Amino acid sequence: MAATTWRRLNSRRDHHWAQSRYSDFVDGELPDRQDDRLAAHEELCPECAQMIRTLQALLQALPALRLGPEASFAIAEQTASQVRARIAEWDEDG
Amino acid sequence: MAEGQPWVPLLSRLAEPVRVRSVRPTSAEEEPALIERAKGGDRDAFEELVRRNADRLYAVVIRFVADDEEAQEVTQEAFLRAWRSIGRFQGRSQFFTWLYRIGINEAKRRIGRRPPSELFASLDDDPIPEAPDWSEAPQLRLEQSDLRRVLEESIRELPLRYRATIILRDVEGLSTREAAEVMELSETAFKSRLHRARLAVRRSLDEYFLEERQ
Repeated sequence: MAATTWRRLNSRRDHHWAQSRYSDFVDGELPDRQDDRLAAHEELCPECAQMIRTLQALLQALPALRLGPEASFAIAEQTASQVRARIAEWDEDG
Repeated sequence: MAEGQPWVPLLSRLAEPVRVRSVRPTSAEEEPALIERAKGGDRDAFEELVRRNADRLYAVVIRFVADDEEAQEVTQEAFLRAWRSIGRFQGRSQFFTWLYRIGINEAKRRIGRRPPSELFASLDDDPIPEAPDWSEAPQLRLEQSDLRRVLEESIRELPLRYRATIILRDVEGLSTREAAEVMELSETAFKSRLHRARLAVRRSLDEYFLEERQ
């Protein structure tokens, strides 16, 4: 079988295999051999390469959805005060 | 503001891209010592634990419930449950993972009272073939509230069992092991759900950038 045909068949098989492993790949949680295999496939497959790039971009963006420091402080103070009051009520009720 | 989505104004609270948790003054006492004191009935020690963890719990809960008021109620209720049962906390997990579990269960309990249509959202995670490669798009710095809104909405549209995975792991930054522990899942099962959740949120950005281009 010609080398190019073999590469194309391999690439198609790896494409299906790669689809369930994108997350582990971007998290660096794939075993070494699988990581190498997916990295090699990424170089040949524009569709998987785009999927991996956009997943990485998404993971960089998501932590920005965390609460800002001012809101964090307000929520901590408010919750502490409410919880203290409720516990005090229980204690008074015996 | 989107009608029928009363939580949207809360996005203004999600303001700065960098989180600084240490702006408030806190006691220098280590958490295990506070937990031990709280187990002995020390209310001040427990209050310090509330101060240290309330924002993290609220940030998770707000993405499950209807609005800010309900998120505050659930956060408060979770701490009250924690106070009642802190004697049973054995320190095998971290305190905040134990709290997250109580908070998420409380949020789910409330959601469970709602009509079924809110509980069974679909999960569409197929990529859109014609979508542009937006990995270098400047909007991803989230300076644009529009994209922030898209991300928040797409997370809220995830079915409950997938939603918590991406919030805990990718927004709040827990490790896979910690997040799986909160959800009482094996790491393999957790990763599988996380993968699908990420693909679904990623797809919503495909749609967003496709619309932007047109």
